[in-house]
Amino acid sequence: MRNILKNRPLMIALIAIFLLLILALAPSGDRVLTFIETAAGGILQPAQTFATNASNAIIDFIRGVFNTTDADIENQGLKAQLAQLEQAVTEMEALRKENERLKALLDFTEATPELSYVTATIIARNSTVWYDTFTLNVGRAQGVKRNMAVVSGKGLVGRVSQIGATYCKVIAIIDKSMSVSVMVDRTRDGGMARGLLEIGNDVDTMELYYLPSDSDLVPGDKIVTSGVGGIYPKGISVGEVREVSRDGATERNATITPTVDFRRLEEVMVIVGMPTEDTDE
Amino acid sequence: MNKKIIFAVSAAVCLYLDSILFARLFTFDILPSALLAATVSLSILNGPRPGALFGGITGLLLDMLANTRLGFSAAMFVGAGLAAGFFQKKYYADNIVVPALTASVLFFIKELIMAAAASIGGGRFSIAAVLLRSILPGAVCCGALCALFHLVLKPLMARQVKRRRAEKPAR
Repeated sequence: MRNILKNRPLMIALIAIFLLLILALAPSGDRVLTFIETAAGGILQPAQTFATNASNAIIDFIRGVFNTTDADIENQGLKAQLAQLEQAVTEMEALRKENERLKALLDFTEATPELSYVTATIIARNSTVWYDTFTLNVGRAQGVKRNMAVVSGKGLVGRVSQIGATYCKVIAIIDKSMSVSVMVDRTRDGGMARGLLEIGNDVDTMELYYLPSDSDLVPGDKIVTSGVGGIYPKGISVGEVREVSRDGATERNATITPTVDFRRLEEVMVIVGMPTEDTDE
Repeated sequence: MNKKIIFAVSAAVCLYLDSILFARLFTFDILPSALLAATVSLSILNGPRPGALFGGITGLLLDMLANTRLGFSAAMFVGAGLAAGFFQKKYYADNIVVPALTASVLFFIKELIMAAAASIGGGRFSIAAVLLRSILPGAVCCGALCALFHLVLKPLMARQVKRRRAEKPAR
């Protein structure tokens, strides 16, 4: 024991690991950003936005390389003769995809005229697999405030947790620290949905709990926000019931597959105005 | 090449990789850390202090731009810089296996700390699944990245390494 205590590098390493563990445990999801953070974020946000947009071409190229089949190889041989045309097709494809994503957002806004939105692009994502957070290119200057709901064309994405002048950080609903008040669309039974840390699973997962004991829940049931709590508007799609596990031993009632594909999310909308806010005031 | 320029370009490239490209590209729970790899490589080439300084500043920037836990990455990369600097004293910069292994081991430790924190914080997961599908492949990727960085950075920093060798001969 004395030898271990005298081993300076080992002691430094153990103390460092202990301090890192404390830092990792520190709850910092919701906090006010310092002036330095806001300034640094404000300066770097345009560069991040540019780099994010430039990434689309790189990502499409890399995915194309890894998704090569025999037909693709033959196709590529032909495409080599039509390099200029291919370039035009690629650009058109990128525009088509962007158009589809924006159309989905537009459809969503048209379906919910009572809400007002600010459209944003994801410019950075958390650099670890342990947290599901990301940074958007909108902030206080665009009217975004803390705890505002973030949605995509398919459903609920998360809420704003930290805010700078021209950027904000969002905690996704699949993060293990997140809970959302929800209800089953078919039966109108209320409950809570929370993020689940599911490493090694190809699809994101949430768990549904606190449902009434007589709730008739079946796989495929749509889960929507209940509006309780005032952060998320009522009726926004959260997910679909994948598996019902009502064994009484645990509080879990079901697992949900979120409607939003968080791995391919690029554009989102921050809800900056809800009718409930007006009536409260 | 000027050391400051190399550090600045490395920082910009790694911040881009960690906060934008890797997070979108790696969809199978494997997220290598380019900043950790670069910190280790620069530390072995330049010594613990410059490496730790690079790690501290870039880690802080990463925390401000992309993460929600301010200071964790900075502290981790300062530690990585100091730890990798230990090998700079003993093995100098010629070996490519040492930086790659160091980066892999440090990534492994970092992820284990995160896993412990996630577990204490209420996360429920199988440690075996996490090890096999996220941490170990991530450590291998991080080691490979570090080897790549080292191959690129070593010739660029050859003059500084030579000067350092002349000042402090190997033990």
